[in-house]
Amino acid sequence: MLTAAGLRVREVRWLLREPALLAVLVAVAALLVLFVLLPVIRVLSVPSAEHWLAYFQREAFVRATRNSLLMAVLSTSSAMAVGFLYAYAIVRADIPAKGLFRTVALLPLVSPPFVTGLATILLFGRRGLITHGLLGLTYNPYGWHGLWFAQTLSFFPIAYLGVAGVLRAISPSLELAAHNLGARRFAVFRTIAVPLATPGLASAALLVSIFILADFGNPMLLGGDFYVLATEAYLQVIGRYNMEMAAVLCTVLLVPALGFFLAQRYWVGARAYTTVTGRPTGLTPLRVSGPVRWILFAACLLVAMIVLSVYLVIAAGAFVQVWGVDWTFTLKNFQYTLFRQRDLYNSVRFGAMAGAITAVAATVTAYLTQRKSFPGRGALDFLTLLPVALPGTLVGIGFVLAFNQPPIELVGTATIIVAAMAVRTLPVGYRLSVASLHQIDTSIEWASRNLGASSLKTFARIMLPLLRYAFAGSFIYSFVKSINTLSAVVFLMTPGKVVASASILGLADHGYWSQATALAFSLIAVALLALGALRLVAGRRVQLFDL
Amino acid sequence: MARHGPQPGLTRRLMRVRIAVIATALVVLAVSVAPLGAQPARIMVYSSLHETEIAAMLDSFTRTTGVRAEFIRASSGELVARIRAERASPKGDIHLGGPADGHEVLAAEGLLEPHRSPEHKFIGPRFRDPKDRWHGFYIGALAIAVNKTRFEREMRPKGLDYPKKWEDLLHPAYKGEIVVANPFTSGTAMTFIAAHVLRLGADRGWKYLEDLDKNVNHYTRSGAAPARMSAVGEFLIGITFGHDILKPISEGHPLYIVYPPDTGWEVGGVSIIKGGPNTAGARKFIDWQLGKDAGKLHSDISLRISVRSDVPVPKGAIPITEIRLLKGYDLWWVAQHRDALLRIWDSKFRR
Repeated sequence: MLTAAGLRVREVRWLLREPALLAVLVAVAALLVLFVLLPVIRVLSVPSAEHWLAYFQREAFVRATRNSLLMAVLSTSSAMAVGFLYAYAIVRADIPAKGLFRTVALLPLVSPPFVTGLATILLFGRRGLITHGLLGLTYNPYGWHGLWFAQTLSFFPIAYLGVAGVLRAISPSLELAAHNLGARRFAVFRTIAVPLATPGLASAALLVSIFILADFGNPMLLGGDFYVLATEAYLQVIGRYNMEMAAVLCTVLLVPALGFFLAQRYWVGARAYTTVTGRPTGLTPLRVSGPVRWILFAACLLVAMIVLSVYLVIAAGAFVQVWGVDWTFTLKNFQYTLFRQRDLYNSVRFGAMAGAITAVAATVTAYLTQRKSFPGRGALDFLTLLPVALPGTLVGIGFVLAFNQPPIELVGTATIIVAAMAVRTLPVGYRLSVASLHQIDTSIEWASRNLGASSLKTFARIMLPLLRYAFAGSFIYSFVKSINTLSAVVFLMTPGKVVASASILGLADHGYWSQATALAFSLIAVALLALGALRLVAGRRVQLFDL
Repeated sequence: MARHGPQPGLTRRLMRVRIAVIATALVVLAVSVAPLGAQPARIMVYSSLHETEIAAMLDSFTRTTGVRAEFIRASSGELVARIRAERASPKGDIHLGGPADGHEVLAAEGLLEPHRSPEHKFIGPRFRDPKDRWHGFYIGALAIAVNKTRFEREMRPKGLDYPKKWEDLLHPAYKGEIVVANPFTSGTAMTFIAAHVLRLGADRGWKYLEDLDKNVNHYTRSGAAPARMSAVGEFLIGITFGHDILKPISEGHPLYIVYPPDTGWEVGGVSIIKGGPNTAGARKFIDWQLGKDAGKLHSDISLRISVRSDVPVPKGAIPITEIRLLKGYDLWWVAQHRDALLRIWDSKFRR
């Protein structure tokens, strides 16, 4: 038996035997501390007691906190409900046109969340095509209800992914047994399917609520006078450059986000990104009865139609002369967005760099934490996953606070934008790599080590080729998410370093619907192209979104 | 997740496509991380004009002088806050656009670089800083935009006529139908609240704004947004600078525009940020921007009235002489009281 201390000593001794491995480990750890931990520490340490006092005294801040929590509860519930319905219909009820529904659910995952907000105004706004044009209503989307709608639509696919994974993992044998013993179908659903799925559902719900809590684009577009913590922090920075107050608000936002993250990680297990494939039992799940199947189909169809209309209205806006006045076809909106401005080019450039960094860092870190033992392994794993729980606004403000003065002055460079993008997408890339590693038997490595190869050589010659699809997956995922990210980079932009997502928000804010939709359309097209390239390279071996 | 091993069904052609895709990706990556070569001189512009206007003007500037220009657009209140915040190491060279009181605030704090321009002789002394720290290049007046289609359908039957004066906006029929910007982010809104305080005195001015608040749907971030929102009929009435209303009108939107008597006005300014990365280039920019050609280019695309008498009033714009401006509007007073006005506004109107 080894004592813990003895084990530590041995770990260190192994490490010292491989200086190259040690160097890589130190480099990875240093980067994580610098770009993940330091910004958080700065956000926590910058505000003084009087800023905290101001937070509790100012009604606006208290209200923003309440609004954030209210929106998280409301939108998470509705996104989960829609996601559950969608997943149940596709996984269990075997409805027709499943492929179409899956594709539709993919769209919000690969486009910026605020596209939904933009489309909500155009479709259901006071002069929306549907509410006003078709139904003749004057509905005001600016406020909590319009935001609730947009958030439900933006984030139900994440709920759907989680729920679908859970439902697939539940073996149908129990349900069949209950049914054979005479239980009605609904009773089976209520007493077996739901309880079995509860931990997985809780996990999905926690994840969705982290996203909704932190979301910034939709509240910015649709909030009107309904401020949430993310937009209130933004206003503190942009309208007043009161970084300390913004840091206080981010800290308040971090509390529930981190709480949900820890609950999700340690209470219901981390299943949000890796898919849970159930052991095939050879049993077909219990079929829902005919009418229920059609009701589910109709409900899914309605959801899919709404999602599709979002993307159609974006496309329509991009190709018409003047939204609402002159509906003739034109390409002029792309003139400005694609050829006059470098925003889209910047997005692609920074996104590609962030993707490369994320893919490398994720693969290396996963190899270290999964295959090597060293002191602080758990901490490294935690730091790599931590950004899931960090609201984008906090990352952005933390970066400004941490890197706006020597020794590390990065504000105003492209580096800081790329770093923010990479940090935000690192956890998912890391999970992809970890899942891939789990499928590779360690004996290959031992063989290589026994033949005299070093850790690094083994990694480069054996592991990397085996991990290449996870690597490509990480790269594309990070790229797609990076070109869509808004909240983290909006504080980091300087002239010449403007990215498309922020431009879309600015144009929409200014009322330039045609240009905003044209740019959004282009951004979505780029994301879909990237996914198509991944499909060509890796075939079906990498499922970024297990639909 | 990942399954490994060869795919027997993969045809040669698909293999070629895959190689092509990977090669393309590598090239894209290589290009994107390739360090940019020697950079020609560049200036960094912070501007609150409209995106398309800034892009057109900077293109022309680069063609004329050979100096490249990069810009970031934000509302002018946001830019004032940003320039204040960056005082230790300024990232911008030029602050372009927005009411001069915002420039005056920065000048008073010593954040602007004085510049004597040969073009000054064409610009009246009322329109520039006596110490040459900021320079006016256009004049604008606040106006009311009303969506005609909606007004004729919804308000005319109730016996209402288009609003003519500021007090007309207090009619209860307009409840929830008026949009105006938030003065924390928008210079337009700053001009708006200051104009009423100066027009009616502090007590009655704030009282007017409180009464109007009952009809305001919400306060937007950008000053020009109300014009666009009323243009598409999202809201019936938008309050902003006249040129921002004339622009959607020229694009074909059904907007009625009225400049009420005693309306607030602005001198739109441009200034050099002290200690920016390229002050020499910034001086070139000011000389170009204040010149006749740039003045004409700017007026023609923005419908703003130039402060230069030799720049013709653009087609579709309204000469400033035909507008009854508020005589007591004093941008220096506004600059001095900016923070106090914002504090009062915040206590009354933060919802």
